Amino acid sequence: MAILKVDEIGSPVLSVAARRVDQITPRHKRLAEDMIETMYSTPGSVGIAAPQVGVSESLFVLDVSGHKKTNICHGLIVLFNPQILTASDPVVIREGCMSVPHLTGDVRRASQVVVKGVNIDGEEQVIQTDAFEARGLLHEIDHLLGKLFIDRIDGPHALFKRKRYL
Amino acid sequence: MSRFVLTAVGPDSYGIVARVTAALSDLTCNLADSRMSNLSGHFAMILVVEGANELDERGIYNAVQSRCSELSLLVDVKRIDEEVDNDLDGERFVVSVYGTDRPGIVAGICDVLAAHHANIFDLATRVIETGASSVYTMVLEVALRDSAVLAELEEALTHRAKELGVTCSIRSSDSEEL
Ligand SMILES: [Zn+2]
Repeated sequence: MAILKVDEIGSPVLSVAARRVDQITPRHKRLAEDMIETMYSTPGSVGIAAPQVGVSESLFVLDVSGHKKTNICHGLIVLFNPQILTASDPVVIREGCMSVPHLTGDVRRASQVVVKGVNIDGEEQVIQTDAFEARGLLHEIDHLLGKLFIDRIDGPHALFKRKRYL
Repeated sequence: MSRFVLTAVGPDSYGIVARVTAALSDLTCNLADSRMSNLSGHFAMILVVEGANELDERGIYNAVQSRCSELSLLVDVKRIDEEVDNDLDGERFVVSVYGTDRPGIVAGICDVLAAHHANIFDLATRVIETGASSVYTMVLEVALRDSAVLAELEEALTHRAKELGVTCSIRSSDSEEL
């Protein structure tokens, strides 16, 4: 296992759509493990998408356990080729992202979602969730589409400076 | 490298931003920070501009005015000498204020904020005409140096708002890390 370097805004890999993963190989399993370790070792981080560690493939990890805004919680989620089946009830929350360390922004996203993907064992998984887990899924799926929260910002006055990601 | 604050205000029209920034681009200046907004039909821009050492205020002023001669822009350029402390520390809060328009709302509320070391880093006000009267709205973003004073600040704001005949609320605007 290893802690991976997280790419920051300006890195081209963050702005292109990630490739679909047709076959989950041992390399993907190692990558997922390293992404999980990187996520857990970064204070505040609840998710990482593969493009954030320089790999343009459709995979993310997410774990919102214990977060104050979490309601429904699936624990650790590792998902390949995720697709949003339904998304509703948008709310505005101020988001931060490891790949955009100097800014936060008010972003409107659905708070009720159903997402489908493939888990680490190659099985189809359908996740119905809400609140902060829904937000996390949508934020990570955006990374796989080559989008940062800045692409979804609520307007020019909704972007804020901060010192650093936590 | 030298830095300047440039302000430009004029009646709104198409192309103000394009022309002002083209003038700066001609001088190979960077826009470090900027805020631009339409205020009651006047387009107002404030920019922090960075450029080569040999640039001066007059040079930037002339470049902007020559690109924007028919726009009746009021332009001002001022060199920034010392490095200012850009302190963004402290817990973030949004303060919302609204009520019947009267003089002293902004001053009254901001006086309370200053007394509690709440640093304003963004503020916008609007007047809404509602037939008979006009309603004043103000929204601020503040960083509170010591969040232990929050309860006290909230009480002081409520008290001041009552004196001013307006409604005032404060809430956390901390971000969620993803
Ligand atoms: Zn992110």
